[in-house]
This record gives sequence, structure tokens and C-alpha cells, in this order.
Amino acid sequence: MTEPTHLLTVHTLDQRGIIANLSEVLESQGACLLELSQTVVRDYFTIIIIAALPPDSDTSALTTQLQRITGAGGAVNLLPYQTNRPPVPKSDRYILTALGDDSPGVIHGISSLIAERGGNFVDLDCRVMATGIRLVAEIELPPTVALDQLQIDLEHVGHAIGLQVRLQHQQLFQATNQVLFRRIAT
Amino acid sequence: MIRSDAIFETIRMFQEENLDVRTVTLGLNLDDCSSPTLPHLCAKIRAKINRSAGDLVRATREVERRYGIPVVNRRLAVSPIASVAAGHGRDALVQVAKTLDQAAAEVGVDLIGGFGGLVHKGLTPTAKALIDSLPEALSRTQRVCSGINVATTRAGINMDAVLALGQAIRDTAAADQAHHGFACAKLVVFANMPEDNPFMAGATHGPGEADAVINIGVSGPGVVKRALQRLIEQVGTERLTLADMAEEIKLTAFRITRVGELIGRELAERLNVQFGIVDLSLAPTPKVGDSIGEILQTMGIAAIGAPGSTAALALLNDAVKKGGAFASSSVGGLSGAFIPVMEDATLATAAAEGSLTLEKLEAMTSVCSVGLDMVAIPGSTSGATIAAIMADEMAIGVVNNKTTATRIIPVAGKAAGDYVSFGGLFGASVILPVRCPGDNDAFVRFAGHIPAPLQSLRN
Repeated sequence: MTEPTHLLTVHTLDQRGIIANLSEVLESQGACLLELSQTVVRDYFTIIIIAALPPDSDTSALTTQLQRITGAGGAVNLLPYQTNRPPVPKSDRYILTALGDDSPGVIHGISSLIAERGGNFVDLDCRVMATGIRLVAEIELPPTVALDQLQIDLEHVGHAIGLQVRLQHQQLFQATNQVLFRRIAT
Repeated sequence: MIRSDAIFETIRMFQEENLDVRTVTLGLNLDDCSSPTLPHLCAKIRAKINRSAGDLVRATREVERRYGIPVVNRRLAVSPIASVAAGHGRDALVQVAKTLDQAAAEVGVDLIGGFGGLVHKGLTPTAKALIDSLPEALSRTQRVCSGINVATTRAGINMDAVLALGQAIRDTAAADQAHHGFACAKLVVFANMPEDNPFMAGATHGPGEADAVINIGVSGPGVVKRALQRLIEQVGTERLTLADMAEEIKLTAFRITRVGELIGRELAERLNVQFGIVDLSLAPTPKVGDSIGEILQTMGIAAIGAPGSTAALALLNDAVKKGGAFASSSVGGLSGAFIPVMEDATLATAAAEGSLTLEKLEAMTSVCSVGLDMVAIPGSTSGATIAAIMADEMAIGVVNNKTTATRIIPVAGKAAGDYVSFGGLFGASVILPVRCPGDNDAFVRFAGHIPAPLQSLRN
């Protein structure tokens, strides 16, 4: 299996054909794209790519070529890939949702509480709309976490700022939304 | 990650549309508690219930928390007491009922079913004694429920039992006059009784079941109604057909069933017992937005009971089964739409306005589960007439090879058109008139047995 060598992030105003343009440059330099995630947040195109570059790659030249595509208003960041993350302990995945009024400190309040209890955000999506804020996060929690207390504390944090915050096991959403679902015994 | 809109759609079902797990029912086999001495029998029953169900409430709370799903009731269903207490008499059976009541309270469940028997081919002396004990057993206990199977498609209808139960229902109402005969709401008379029904008052742990089994009853009339309303808003009535509605109900039933199976399997694992079934019956409550009647109204049946009501109910019932069957291989129990008049505010209103009559209800029960459920009738109705009403309902079940049942409450001192209210989930309703009461009592008084129909010869 090809090992990753670099982490590439690109942010810029969204434009048609940007993925085709970026991938054309990367391919011309012999890059192998191993994993990527892309989204558009409020008109801003954002992509993160884990890639394997040939050993003799000129990363400065590659960065310059990519910057030509994003223009002055964008940002390109190419970093050497390195991971020394300790093995992930056995954990359960939960979905955290928050709905309600938008107020400063929403994400900080919730994420601090999750961090304090040993949780880890795997995925996070948050939007402020005319109707208020809508946050959805996928979180890993250690099996030893006091779920009752965490749910009560999250509700309390949410209540103080006009938010309804819920924490529910991920399997509920898989079971109700995916045709293929097998509950794995714990 | 699962799409955000799908996540919020699931949350909406619980938060705004009254989806819940209506009941977690632990089925317990009590055959190993049999004893010729009453104190020993009662002690063994109490010990087994405490041993097997002691953790039910705690484990259910944990699963509720994990998934953020409300579980409304925790209940027990035990083996038919007419078998467990074989050889004991009427007074002893009343004591057994009191023991069940006490044990249920000790483990924190609100109802315990199974104080009944399977009598579709004949009555044992204990089964006769149990029927005799019902007025006292049901009126002197809070949590005990009785399910008695008097008919099957294979066996026909035991009219001796039906006649005896008609009188027992009347006597139970009289014994519980202070509560308007509420004790009768804890007695269900069945044709083709399922062995794994988790819903009360008819839940009984069948003789073919394992020692301890978790069965789940989910409910979501509100979710189905809102799904249909959204469909109508999105597509418009001009372009929508009944087949589209059936498809929408199927999809909704799929999701509801999956919730039940998830909860049931996890709970069974935590309690180290077998997972049984998900019963995907749409069980209404008197709460607005949690009504079968409101679903039918959304489908265009303005006056429940008017022409079209049976067809609409048939469509609903069938689509629920199809969605549920695709979602899980463990669908069982009754699994259809309930039409308990007192427990469904819209049905109760239709009864009060005269569009929903006893006769139309009977017709509707031929296409749904379960039968004449939570129907209040005049207290003056004779035992024989109650038996005749039950015989009609049993005949529908026997001939159509389906479960039917009755839960009839003759309200002492009240006449047709009066009101009765039991409060809470048991609701309120007008007293429905029984047409020509007594005119056909001679038929049921012949008693004996109505032979099994030709449909029974399937081998």
C-alpha cells in the first residue's frame, strides 16, 4: 500500500472546475491522492488531501503552481505528513446535535465539555441560518464515560444559551436511515 | 457521517411526532413455579419475577439514555396462570393475582399480563376457576392483566368460555363500580392470541416461548400522520394517489421498526435474555397528534366510521406491515393499527358524534388489529349480550385467520350517550349503544362449540 508523504490544504472562493484544475497539477507532478475531503462553507471551497509525492518532488514549485489556481484570495498549504497518534482506545460513536439560538461561545462551550470527558470530535458541521444555529457532530466517547451526566451537562450548557443539545448513539441514526444495518453486539 | 438532514429527520420523529417505544415487555415462563401448595406457588412466582426482572427498569433506563429514545412503559408477561396454577381453586387464584401484583410493584413495572389461559378447545377446572376469580382478581389488584384465548382458526370457538366470560366481564364491572368498571380494561378475550404480544392488557408469555424474552412494542401514529401531511404538502392532492400514501407509510413503518429492534436487541443483551419480536402496532394515546383517527382524517376520511373508513384502515394496516417486515426479520405480536376507542381522542370524538358505531368498529376490526378495544357500553348490557358481541368478534378472527380480541367495559349506572373517563392513557369516551340488547341471547346460551371453519383444514 502506498504510504502518505504530504498533507495539502487549499482554501479559496469556490469556482467551477477547481477540483479538476487542482488534480491536473497534482497528477502532472506524479502525486497519488490517498484520501481527501472537500466542502464548501459560505462560498469558500475547502479541501484537505492526503497524498503521496515522488521522493524528488519540488514542493515549492508545486505550491506555486497550486497558488496560481486559487489566486491571491486563496491559501495553499503543503506539509510533510507525519503521524504519531497513539492507538485509539475502544470507543463508542455518538451523534451530538444542537439546535436553537445562535450566540457566541456555542462551539466552545460544547467542545470543552466533550474534551473534558475524554471525547473526540470525528466530524463536525455547523451552520448559522435564519432560524438559528444547527450543529451536528460525530463524537467518539470512551466506554467509561458517565453518559447520563454528560447528557445532563450538555443540556445544561445548551439551556443557558438557548440551545437544545442532544447526544445519542450513532446506531440509532444508522438503523433508521440505512437499509443495511446490523447491530454489532457490544 | 450520516447526512445532517437524515439525522434531524430522525430526531423530529421523537421530539415533535410522539414516536416512542411504547412498551418493553419481559416475557417470563413461570411453569417451573408450579406447586401443589399455595404459599409455595406464590413464593416461587415472586422469587422468579424478582430474580428475572429485577434489573429491567435499570437496564431500560440505560438504553433510553444511550439512544435518547423515550421508553414509556416497562411490563411483564407471564405464562398463562391457568396452567401455572393448575389444580388450584378460585380463592387460590385470587391470591396468585395478588402475588403477581406485589411482584410487579417490587420490580417497578406498571402492568403484568398473563393471568389467563388458553381455553379455545375446552375449559380445565383451573381455567373455570380462573374465569370465576376474574371479578375479584382484577378489581382487587392494580397491575394484573388477563388475556384469555377462546378461539382459534384451527379449533373454532369455545362458546362455553365465551358465555362464562360475558358474565365475568359484567361481574368485574360490578365489582369495580367505584372506578366505573375500569378493571374490565385489564381483560382481553382473544381469537388466535399471539404468544409474543408485548402490548397490554393482552400480553401473555406463550407456552412456545423461551424462559425469558424481551419483546418490544413501538408506536408512532403521529409520525405516520406527519409523514402523510408532508407528502400532501409537497406533492399536492391533485397529483397524489393512495398508492403514494401507502409507500410513504411503508417508509415510515420501516424507520419505526428499526428503532424497536435496536432497543430490543440491546436490552436483551444487557439482561442476558433472548430477544423476541418487535410489535409494530400503531398504538394511539389520547394525546393530540398520537391518533389513528387523525391518520385516517389526513387520508381524507373526515368522519371516522363513514364509508371509506374500512378501506383506509386496510391500506394503513397493510403498509405498516410491509414496511416493518422489510425492516426486521423479528416482527411479531399483533403488528397492525389499534383502534381503541377510549384511548384515541379522535375515535372517541367520532363515537360521540355518532359516525363511529359498534357495528362499524366491528367491520373495521376485520382489516386491522385487534378488535373491539376499549369500548364502553351500557352497564345494563347482559352477560349473554356481551358474550354475543365477543362471539361476533371471535368469528371474524377465526374465519379470517387473524387475531381479533375484545376489551369491553360495561359501565355500571351509565347508559348510551353518557360519558366515562378513566384518565391518563386510558382516555375517555361516550358510552356506545348496543343495538337490540338481549334479542339474540338464545343463540349464545346454546353454548358448546362453534366448529372450526374449513380454513382450518390446511394440511
